[in-house]
Amino acid sequence: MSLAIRNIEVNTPRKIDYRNVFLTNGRIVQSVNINQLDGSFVTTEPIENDGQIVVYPQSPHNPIYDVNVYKEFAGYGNLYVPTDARFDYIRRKIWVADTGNSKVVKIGINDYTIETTFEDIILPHSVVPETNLGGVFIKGFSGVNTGIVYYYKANGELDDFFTFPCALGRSSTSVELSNAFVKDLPVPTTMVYDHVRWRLWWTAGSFVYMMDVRNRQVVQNDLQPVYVDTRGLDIDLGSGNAFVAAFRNHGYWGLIQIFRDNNDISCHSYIDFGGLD
Amino acid sequence: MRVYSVSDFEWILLGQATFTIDGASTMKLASCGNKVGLAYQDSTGIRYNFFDVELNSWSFVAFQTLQASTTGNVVDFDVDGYNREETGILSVGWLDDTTSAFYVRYTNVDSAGFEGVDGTASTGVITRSKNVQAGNYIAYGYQKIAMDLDAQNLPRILGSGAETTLYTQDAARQWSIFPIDMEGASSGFVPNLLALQMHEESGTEYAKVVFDNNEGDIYYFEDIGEDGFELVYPDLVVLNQERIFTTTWGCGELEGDEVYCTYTHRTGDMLRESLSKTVIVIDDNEDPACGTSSSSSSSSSSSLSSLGYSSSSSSSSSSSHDSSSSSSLVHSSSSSSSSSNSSSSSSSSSLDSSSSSSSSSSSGGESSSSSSLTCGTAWSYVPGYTNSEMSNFVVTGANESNTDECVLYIGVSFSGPNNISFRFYSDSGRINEVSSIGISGATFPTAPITLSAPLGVNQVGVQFDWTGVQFSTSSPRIEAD
Repeated sequence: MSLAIRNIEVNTPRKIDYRNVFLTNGRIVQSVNINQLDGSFVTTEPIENDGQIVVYPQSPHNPIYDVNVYKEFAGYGNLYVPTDARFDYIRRKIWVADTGNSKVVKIGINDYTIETTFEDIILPHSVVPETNLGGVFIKGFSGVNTGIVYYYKANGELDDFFTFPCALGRSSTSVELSNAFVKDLPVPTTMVYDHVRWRLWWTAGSFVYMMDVRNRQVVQNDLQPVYVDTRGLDIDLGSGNAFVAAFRNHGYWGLIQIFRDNNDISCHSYIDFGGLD
Repeated sequence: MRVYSVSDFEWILLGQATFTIDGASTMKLASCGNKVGLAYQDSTGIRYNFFDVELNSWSFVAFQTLQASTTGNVVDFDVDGYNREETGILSVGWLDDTTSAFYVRYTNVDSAGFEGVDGTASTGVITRSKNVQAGNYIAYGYQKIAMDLDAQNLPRILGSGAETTLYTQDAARQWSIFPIDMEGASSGFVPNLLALQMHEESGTEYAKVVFDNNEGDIYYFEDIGEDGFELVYPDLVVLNQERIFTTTWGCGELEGDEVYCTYTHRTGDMLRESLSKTVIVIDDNEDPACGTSSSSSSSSSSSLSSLGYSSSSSSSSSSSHDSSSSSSLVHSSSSSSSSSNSSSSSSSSSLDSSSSSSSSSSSGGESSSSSSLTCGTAWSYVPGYTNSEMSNFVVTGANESNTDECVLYIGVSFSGPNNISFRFYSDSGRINEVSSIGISGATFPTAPITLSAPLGVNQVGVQFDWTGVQFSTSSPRIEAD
């Protein structure tokens, strides 16, 4: 398996740059996140070596190209089935959803030591730094049919949490060291933060949620009946609009743009997977 | 609570009453013909009352509960008003949060206490069933509401927060929904208070929205049609009748025009209509501090001026339908700015020597009240009167030298088992008694008693006292003639 990195011209669509990171057979990558400051990126490999994170330099052409694998941390132990890792590039931290241990940890990347641990979180699978103030958003489950998003402030205090329907598709929230288990989890990109507007967006089923930190509100948008399911989403920081990968009732995936304030769908397009392998 | 009639240079105390209020900082008011409708929010819901500015009387001895507002959790509310002959009608819009749904609601209540009048028995504007649950965040709702009535007294309601929506009702009582593109108000800025006013041009309605951002700035948006709302003045601080005055807030001061008087610790709301010129003031024992002039004002207000038509501090959503009929508290501009979660505020106004002021205090185990007044002051209600049970009260001031042979009158009818006496003093400390009149007997006349102090004596104090409980059948009033 290889980790394919593509720079895509969306309008055509076509590849304008590409890079492959070759992995040994059986290694799956659940998340990839780029350090905005130095271009390095971190991946999570939930199955390989019972779970690890891997930090890659910006380019293989760098004079020093050390790919570093992190699994065991002093005073903490081993990661187990981690499924998401993201940089707080402002503070030089990596937040990791240590799914198998039901924990979320903050790692300082100067010395790769664990600085903060949040425990007893069921199946954390998406962890998003709140880069304005240093907090973190954690998406997990509170039951097999209920998702939950926690917002921890920088001092570790739980500011609030939000529950919403979210079918895990399994009979229990027990952790398994298997590809099938990881595949059943929502992908890490089902949650993203617009730090310009202090807004957290996430998806579950046909719903798109937006939580406004400063207004202390959360709003919901059901894309039904036109769209029946969603996957990942991202935010255009210029406009504040959300782009959501959504499954249309006609049977194909599309990309829809949702207006930042009022849940209006501005436009949509089909996703053409051809030629982008 | 004090009700003032306000001209450019004068505040005239119309009346006052003591109410037990928890939530006074949320007070809002609206003009309802000859009455002013008042409403505030407490833990049980929205409470309201009406004050008749011609009769100087309240519709209810205590604020009434808007029953429709007691079913959920009131997040925010706003009012506007109108009248039908002598009946004042207060239109109330509010945000109602429950576990399963979030509601935008609206109803009318009249000065007789009837809710749901004029076809508003059904309070629902919109129901939003919740899919997401939150701990202390607002789920699938709004943080702030603002309301305005059109020429037919049909409501326009603005819900604001993470998303912004305008709701309008037509003559058939059908609601229309208009999502609004107003990023500034809905992201990054959390409105502390919000005001909406609609205006019509060539048959098309446009909205004006003002809010403060909880950080000391006031923002003014205008509806520019299909392109959404435009931020007209990004740093609008002073709103004046004659002009819109912009300046920069910094270092806790505003550079502005002359400011003569400053109230501290005042909350309340203000009306700016040329007909009534009435302001409701709730203060906490602070007399206006008046100086000759000042070039700046430091303000920590919890409310904002409304929509750019009059100048004042510490005011909030005005219900003036006619922007040209506004009046201002001061001839020159004054300033306003808000700070987060502050119930204290300061304001400025000019008061001339004939103005009235009063304060309340407690002493001797029974509440007592005092008022200062000058010759020519009309009947004024005495603070400290609650629930028909008379408290001792004290009137001080009159005319310090009595050069105008000012005569004090006291009018009150009451009944009770104990003796009562009225005393006049030549000093404000009420030590040198110059006259007294006592009434004894188990039952006193029910007609108002009018007593005057002796002439030719410097009378600066009057007091009546008793032991036990007297039951007043009218509000005690004082007059300096």
